[in-house]
Amino acid sequence: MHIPDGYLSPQTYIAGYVIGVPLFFYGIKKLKSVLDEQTLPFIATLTALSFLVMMINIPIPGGTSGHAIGAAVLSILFNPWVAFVCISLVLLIQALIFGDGGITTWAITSLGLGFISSFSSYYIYKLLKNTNKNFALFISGWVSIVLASIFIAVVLGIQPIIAHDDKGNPLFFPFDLKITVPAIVGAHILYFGIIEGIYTLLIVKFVEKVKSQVGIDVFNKQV
Amino acid sequence: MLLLFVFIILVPVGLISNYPAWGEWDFSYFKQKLGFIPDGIKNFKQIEGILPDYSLGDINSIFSYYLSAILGVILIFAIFYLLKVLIKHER
Repeated sequence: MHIPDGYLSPQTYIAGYVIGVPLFFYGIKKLKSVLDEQTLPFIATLTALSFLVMMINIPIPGGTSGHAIGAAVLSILFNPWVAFVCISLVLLIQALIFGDGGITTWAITSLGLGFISSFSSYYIYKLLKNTNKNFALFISGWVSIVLASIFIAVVLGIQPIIAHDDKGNPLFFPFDLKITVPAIVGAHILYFGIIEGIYTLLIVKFVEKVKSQVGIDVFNKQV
Repeated sequence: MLLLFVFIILVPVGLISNYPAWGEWDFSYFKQKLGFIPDGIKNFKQIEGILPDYSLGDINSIFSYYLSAILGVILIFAIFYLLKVLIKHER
């Protein structure tokens, strides 16, 4: 879901920046209010972990591969603004240093993988946490990546409608919604959603255990 | 910290797949599927980054993948360190 440069029309990526950048700066303010001596090592470590988990590409049938994101973990343990900013930072490093995902497309990718996945997992978890905690963690992770994939599939799928030349040839991403939605969303429902769900479950449980061992009762998690 | 260590070790698992993620193809994919490369994609000067695709020239791909993983982690910690300094300064 790291959209490369050149795949999106300027109308799309400019809109992405107009919406994404103010949210990002607001998110940094929120992150700063949460960061203290106790939370910083955890947030930095989990952000680094997100970067690493995105490097672990898992092949699936159909000749493609993908990975978990790790937004739900940060969102559930801290708050969705923190998760959004941390994932956006990871995406920025990936684009600038490793050429993974574009610079023009950064805001759109951040909105999908960062904003949508963070806020959806936060509220799903809040809704379900009194049922079965393990179930709630898994589902929050699954929903977060599936919703992000729907957003990315729609953004890519509308490109042939937005921008084409006189002959009708697409100028940017060439495949329409009928192709992008099943391909991207389908893979996330069946495979990467499950991976994200398991990752969310295991890491949140692990962090909570470590946290109680080092004597932290609750994180500073002002929303 | 233990977690980071475990994941850094696991990172080369990501090299098993030769296939890119859906929608993250090279130009040749479009040429093959459509018979042409859309102009916007063809004309955009791709930014390669310092370590494009987490690889470094001819160096062994597992080694450069490890190197990329460590570099990424260091950068992330550096950003948080800077944030910490900034917050201290503001307060």
